[in-house]
Formats: sequence, structure tokens, C-alpha cells
Amino acid sequence: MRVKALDYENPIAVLRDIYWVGFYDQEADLHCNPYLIIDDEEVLLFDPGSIPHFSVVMRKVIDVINPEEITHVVLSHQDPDVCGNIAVVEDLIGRDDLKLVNHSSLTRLVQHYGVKSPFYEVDKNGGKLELKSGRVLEFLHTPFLHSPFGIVTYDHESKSLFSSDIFGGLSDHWSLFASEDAAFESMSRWHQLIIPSNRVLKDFLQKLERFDIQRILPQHGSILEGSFVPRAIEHLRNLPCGIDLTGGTLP
Amino acid sequence: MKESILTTGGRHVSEVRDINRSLAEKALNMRCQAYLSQVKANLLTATIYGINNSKKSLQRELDQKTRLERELKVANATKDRLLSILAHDLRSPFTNLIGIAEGLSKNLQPPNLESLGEHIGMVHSVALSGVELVDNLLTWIWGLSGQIKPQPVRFEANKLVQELFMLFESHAKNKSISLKCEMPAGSEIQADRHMTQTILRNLISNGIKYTANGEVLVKLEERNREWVFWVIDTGVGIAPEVLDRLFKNQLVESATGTAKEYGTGLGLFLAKELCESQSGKIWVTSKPGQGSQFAFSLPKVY
Ligand SMILES: [Fe+2]
Ligand SMILES: [Fe+2]
Repeated sequence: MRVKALDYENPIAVLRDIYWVGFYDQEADLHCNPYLIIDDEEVLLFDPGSIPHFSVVMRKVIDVINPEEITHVVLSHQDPDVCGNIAVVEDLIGRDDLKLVNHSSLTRLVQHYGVKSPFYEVDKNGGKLELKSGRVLEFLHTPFLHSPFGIVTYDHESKSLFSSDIFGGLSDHWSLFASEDAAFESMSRWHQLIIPSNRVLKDFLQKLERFDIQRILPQHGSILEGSFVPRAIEHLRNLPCGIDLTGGTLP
Repeated sequence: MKESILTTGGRHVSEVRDINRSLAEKALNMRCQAYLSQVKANLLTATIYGINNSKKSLQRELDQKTRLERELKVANATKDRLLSILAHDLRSPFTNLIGIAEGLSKNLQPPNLESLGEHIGMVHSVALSGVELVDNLLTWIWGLSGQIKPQPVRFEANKLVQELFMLFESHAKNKSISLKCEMPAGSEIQADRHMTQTILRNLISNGIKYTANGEVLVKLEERNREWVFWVIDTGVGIAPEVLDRLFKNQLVESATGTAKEYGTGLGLFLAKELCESQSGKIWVTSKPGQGSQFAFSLPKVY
């Protein structure tokens, strides 16, 4: 469908109401993917990124909406590339009623970034967030994938999974949407680097079975759509990671 | 940059877009830097505030330590002085009495009334100063345990002075000193009677001690808010360097009297403490050879 070459200097619409506002970390040779969900009255920003890339991410956000319209910032986990700039973003948004959405076990860590906004702790709210439009976001705690305090978000309306570091990829031939089998190779490299074992992956994938997933939007690597979704799940199910590769001992 | 925006007329649209992007990012970057600077400034302020506070509390602790050290030094000197009083001065009246008794027993025959009278005078004076010393010591030790609390009563100052004069009458007579009291008859004051008596006793005793041939005058002066007692003698006076440390809060050894009366320094020390415990003051003016004027005040209400 996408005939025109994508300009990654611009925000890119994944769907009518979901935007990619990511950046390329040249030094780490890593693509980071913050996303926006623009709902009727509310706007959610997923994993706003790092301090050095604050201006790139926010410029792309501003291209789509006024930052003051952002009502929620979802923090999948505590890594500096995921939310190192959260205090600055919070300052730019400048809303008193802004909420930080995360697992309660993450709150303590995120506070070290110097944030002021109240937390919406998903596990204390039935693992769900219902927007004013009735749109339901569901959260799954994903311990040890790779952060003990991480979550992924499933958007019931668009059937999209915002998967944090899971389903991420590491490659020099990056494209925002996975279109070649090489995407699985780059997924292997990434997961074998950061996931402690296949066992934790498998448990997680099992929990995903009850969801109808149309697309996966990871923090790193490429967005998976269509047939790439079941293939990626199958790929990870059989992927030895971390401690599996060292015969059960630490490297 | 301004120029490049203005002269974009002939350029490709994408170039303008690039410029706009980089402008927007620069602005956002500045915004980010401004925020971080503000955070840093806040941290710095908090740090400076913290340093200032700990500096202040450190200074307080240091001051307190210096004060405690000073107090300890004074307390130590006082303790040493007390020990030397106990070791030497408390013993000497008895040694003197023994000496007089020995002299008396040798001179008993043939009876010499004149010398007997002289000896009895000596016994009286030695015993008097011995009792004084013991009184002072007791009052002082009592005060050390923090039990000095003035109990003001109304009493006639004139009566008190006359009582003291009776005590010193024969000693003064032996030294040809006249004791005089100048105060309105029946002048009542309100103060701790025992304390006032001890202060006056010590000042009168000093006056007699350092005077040979002359007078010791006790005066009462009523002021607006206080009574002032004066004890004025016509004695040897006090050297300026001694005057300086007379009321310096520590026990100093005192000079022997004109008739070789011994002094411990306890008397004035005690007088000052008793004055101050009644919220009064004590002071002295004197020149060598021109007598001394001791005075102390007792507030009417304290
Ligand atoms: Fe991470
Ligand atoms: Fe990450």
C-alpha cells in the first residue's frame, strides 16, 4: 500500500490515529520508537525517549499535535533511551492533570528523573485504562523482559500491541515497517542480547494468545504487521536467549 | 539564517522544510537546556542553602565548645583554689589559736592583766575570722550545688548593719577603726536577708582588714529601681592590676591585711555570686593609699 518512500525526518502515521515520532541513535546504532495515540479527547505518548533526542521527538510531536494536548505518557520501563527525558517532556506539556502511566514497581525508579506528575499505576487500576471515548488500553506486566518492572500495552480499538523492548530489532538495514525476512535476524540479535532466557519469553507469548494482534509496535527495530505478527511470535517462541546460549551458566 | 528564510523564493520546497525543522529543533533544544539549567540552578541553590546551614550549626557547636572549655577552665581554677583554702587557710586559725594559748600559758605568772587583755583580743579576732571562713565556705559550697535561691523578705537595713558592727566591734577597736553607718532610721528594704548579711559582712570585714587607723562607713542609697549599699574605708586601697581581676568570676588569692589578717579571696567571690543571684551588681573604685569604695545594688523587684 505504501508506495511513496517514507521520510523518517517526519512523524509517520502508522494508522489514522497512531503516529511514530521516533529517532535514530547514531552512536548506539539504534532506532528508538516513541509513538502517539491520538484519541477523541486524549493523547497518549508512549516512551518519549532520551535527553539528546528530546528536540527531535518533540519536533515530530509538534508536527502532529500541540504538546499541551498530551494527557498521558506511558512508560513501558525505566531505561534512559525510553524515558530519560520524561521530566523535560513533562515541563513542555505543562499540564497539571498529566498522568504518567506505568507499573507501580516502576514508580520509585521514575521518580529519580525528577518528575512531578501523578502516576496512573496500571496494576492498581485493574490493568486497564479506559479513555473518555470508551477506548480501552490493556496492560500486561512483563517481568524480566528485560526490565523486572516493564509493561506492554494492548490497544483494543486498533488491535495494536505497544511491546516495549520485546519484538525489538537491531540491524543496519532498518525500515520502520518490517518487509523482509531479515527482520527476524535482527530480532534474534536484539533478544539474544537483552532477554535472560527463552523460558520467560515463552511464558509471555502464551499470555498474548488471548489477544487479536494486528500489529506490534516495539521500542526498537521495525513495526510488525500482517503475517509478520504470527511469524515473529513463532520465531521468538523457538529462540534461545541469554542464559540458554551459555549452557545455563553466566557468561 | 534570517536571510536564508527570506531568500527562499527560488529554492526547492524541501529546503524550506529542512530549515523549518532545524529551527523548530533548535528552539526545542533551547527549551530543554533552559529546563535543565533551571534544575541545576535549583540544585545549586539547595546545595548552597545546605552548606550555609551546616556552616551555621558547625559554628554554633564550635561556640558552645569554646564556651564550655572556658567554663571548665574557670571551674578548674576555682576547684584548685578551694583545695588550697581547705589545705592551708582553714588550718591557720587553729594554728594561731594554739600559738596564742601557748603564749598565754607561759605568761600566766605573774598575772599581767594588760597582756591578758591583748591575748583575749587576739583570740577573738582569730576565732572571728575562722568562723567567717567556715561560714563563707559553707555558703559557697551550698551555692555550688545550685541551691542558692534568694528568698526576699522585708527587713530593716540599719538593724542588720548594727548587728554586723557588734560582731566586728572589738577587732575594729583594736585597730583604732571607727565603724559608721549612714542610713535613714527605719529604712526597710526587701531582699534575701541572709545573702545581704553575708555580702555586707564580707565587705565590712575587708574594710577593717585593709585599714589601720581610720574608718569604715556603710551607707544605703535608695534609687528608683534599686537599693545601693556602699562600704567605704580609708585604708590602703587597691592596686589597679588587682582591681581589674577582683570580680572576674574566679577565685583570686587576696593580700594579707594591715594587721597580718589572712585572706582567702573567697569573700568577694561569694559577695559577687550572692549579688548576681539576686539580679544585683557589685563594683568597686579604689586607688592605692586612698581607701576603697565597694558598692552593690539590689533591685527592688526581681
Ligand atoms: Fe530497555
Ligand atoms: Fe530500550
